Amino acid sequence: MTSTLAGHDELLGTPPPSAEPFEDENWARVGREAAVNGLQHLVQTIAHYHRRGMELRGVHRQDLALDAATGLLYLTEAPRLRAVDDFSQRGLSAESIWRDARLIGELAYENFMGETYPGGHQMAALLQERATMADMGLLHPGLPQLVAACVSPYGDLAMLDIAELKDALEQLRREVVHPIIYRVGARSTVGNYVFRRNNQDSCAYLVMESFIGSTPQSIGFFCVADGIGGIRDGERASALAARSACRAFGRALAHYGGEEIAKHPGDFARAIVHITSQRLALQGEFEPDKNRGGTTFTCLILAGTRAGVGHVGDSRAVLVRDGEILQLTCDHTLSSIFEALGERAATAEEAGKNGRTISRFLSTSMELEPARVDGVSDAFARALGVEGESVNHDGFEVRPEDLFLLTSDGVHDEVSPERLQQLIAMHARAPQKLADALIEQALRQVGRDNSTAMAIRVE
Amino acid sequence: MKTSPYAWLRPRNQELEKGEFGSINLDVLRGWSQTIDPQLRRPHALPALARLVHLDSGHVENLHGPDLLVGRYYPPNGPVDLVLSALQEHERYRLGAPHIQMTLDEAEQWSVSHLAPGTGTGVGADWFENFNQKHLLNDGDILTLGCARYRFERHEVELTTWKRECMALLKKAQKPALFLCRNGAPCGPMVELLPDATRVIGRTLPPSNNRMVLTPWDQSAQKPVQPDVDLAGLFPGEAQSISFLHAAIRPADLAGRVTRADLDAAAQPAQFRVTPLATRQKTFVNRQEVSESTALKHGDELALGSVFFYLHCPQQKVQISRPPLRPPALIDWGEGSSSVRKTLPLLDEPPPTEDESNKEPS
Repeated sequence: MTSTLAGHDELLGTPPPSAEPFEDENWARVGREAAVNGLQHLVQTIAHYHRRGMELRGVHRQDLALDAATGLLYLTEAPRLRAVDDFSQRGLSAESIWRDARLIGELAYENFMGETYPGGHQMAALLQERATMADMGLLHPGLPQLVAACVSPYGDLAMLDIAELKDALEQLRREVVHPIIYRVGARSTVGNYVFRRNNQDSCAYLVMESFIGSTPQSIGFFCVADGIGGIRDGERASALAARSACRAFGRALAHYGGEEIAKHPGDFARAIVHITSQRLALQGEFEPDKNRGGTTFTCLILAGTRAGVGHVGDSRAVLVRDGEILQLTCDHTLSSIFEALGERAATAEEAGKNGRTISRFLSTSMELEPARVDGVSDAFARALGVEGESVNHDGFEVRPEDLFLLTSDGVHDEVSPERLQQLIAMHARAPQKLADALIEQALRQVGRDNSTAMAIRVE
Repeated sequence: MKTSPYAWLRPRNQELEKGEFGSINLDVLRGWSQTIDPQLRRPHALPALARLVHLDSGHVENLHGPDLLVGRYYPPNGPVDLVLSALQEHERYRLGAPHIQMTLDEAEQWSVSHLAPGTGTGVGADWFENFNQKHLLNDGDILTLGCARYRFERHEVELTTWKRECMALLKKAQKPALFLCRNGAPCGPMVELLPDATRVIGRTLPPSNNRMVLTPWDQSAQKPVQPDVDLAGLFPGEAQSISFLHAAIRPADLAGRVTRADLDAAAQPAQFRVTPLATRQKTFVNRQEVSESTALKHGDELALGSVFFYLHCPQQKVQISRPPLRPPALIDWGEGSSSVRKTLPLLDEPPPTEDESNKEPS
């Protein structure tokens, strides 16, 4: 038998180190959405063999590995794998398909119902009677259809192609999918330094929660801008940046729709920063006397479970995941440059000045070319275990319970990492309280700057 | 009749506008269309004489001319023929504006002169920081500009061949024309100048009649008109240093006034005059900044921001040598024009004398 497997090893998905041999108890603990994803993955693997004219002649639990965290199921053994003799003429028989697919129905049943699969014959009888189904609670929308497709190779419900299971699982997935919502808290304050008479910070967000077709969809744009230069000019620049960025996002949403944005949130976020930069340069050219400044700009796009970042300057975006604080952006300051050069400031005063001197911002005198609009920092991409380049185009995955913070330097320079950790632990579930607490903390320090904080919790 | 809300949206040439942002059409995000002239994005018309390969990123910068200023563009120091891109932020920090002058002499020998104060240039193991001293550069040499490392590679193109092709290109002009230059040489596209009309050079402006688009002149009765010559199609790194309404060029005899500059150049009278229109981006004639109407004659180099144009008038002798250089000033590191720099880049205004208790953390 092993000889038939030779040359097809590469078809077996290589499970990640976190995957373990399949255990019923672990499978029962996997969440429904993850379980459906895991089954989809397994169906894809089986379909892969079927397309090449191979049948597995039954997939058994001991052939599988399960990654309990993601719910993904991996086929690690195929001891009965065989090439179908007359595949080119007749394709796979209904029996072959059923034999390889029946485990999918069993596993779906066990995960959703929390009990052992009663066996094929009993299930076939059971599915005949609506009343019995109701008695045993086999009522979850989409589940009876999936189980029925796997129960027998005969009759009207028998599958002609394992791809039919993909559709059944997709239907089931829509029934269990968790509607993502974003809860936002934001606050921006002039601060309490006597020589700081106006608030040059701006922040803005747009969130749209919708229900389209049978799918809930949430999408949001969040930004923080910290104006620079002159008393009024900085205020003007940051307000204009926030306003034009929101408009640009609105146009992107109207034209491309949420699903397209979710595919490339990184591209959209950076493109919006570039467009905003051009808008500021236009304002600077036609109203030069009122626009001598510029602004930092950090924005976040959340689209469903995808996120993208666009960033210029020393405002910050931070992700709090599982209690761990991950900085999404790299500050564009002289300090960062000296760090890259391996040089240290001679005095503490100079180091402080370097930390406050920004090396890149949206200027009203010259727009910023696309190549200098940053996305996430390399360090963050490394922490995710992906390549920075791809994150900046296609974004990264967000999970329920994730917390995003956008802050101007008037907050993150004033609140120590330890204090930040405490405040997050205190207000992890209340973004508005967290934003307020961060501002309160900043106001208590001797800070000379305006303070702005925005907290976004994914639920 | 209903019109589509996207009636203004221009069809895109995907190939030409392949950008940093995947397949996103930036016009959608803007709410108005920029005119992208495909001519402006064509490959260089002249052969490259040599190239610089950035060792970290593999990014290649081609040298298309025999005499180039290379480095960063910092407006007060004048335009730069080859603005190095694809650099890390700390590499830019150590890069002069301009950093070096690279020249190819008649004996086909490349040499490099260091120009930037406060930083240095290395050829192989040699490091130099003194100005205007020539160092020979050979194929395969490692050229270090500040902390950015490049490999210098010569191409198998003879200077005589290059000159012949350059002249052939210039002779394509039927009328006086500004030839767009890239990387030290005319690259193909030209702007023909009219004998009887003023032409305004700039970039596409947002429309004044679209209420969905916020413009700086929303509240004012006076709306600007689109420039006659639209350079929005330049590559983003070039377009950024060009104002939306940058400069007006008119025939010299449209204005009656004769200036001293005209008298000095009596041997070759000025054919055109250039008037800068914008205060934010600079205009240079032969690398000298000009702030008012200035004569422009055959063989002059006009630079709008850091984008060079070579004025060529047919029936006049082709000249390919460049006017001499003025040494650059120390770079004040930062973005934007010098007027902006006065208030930048500190986020904090330096606090006025203030009681000390406010300065120490409590």
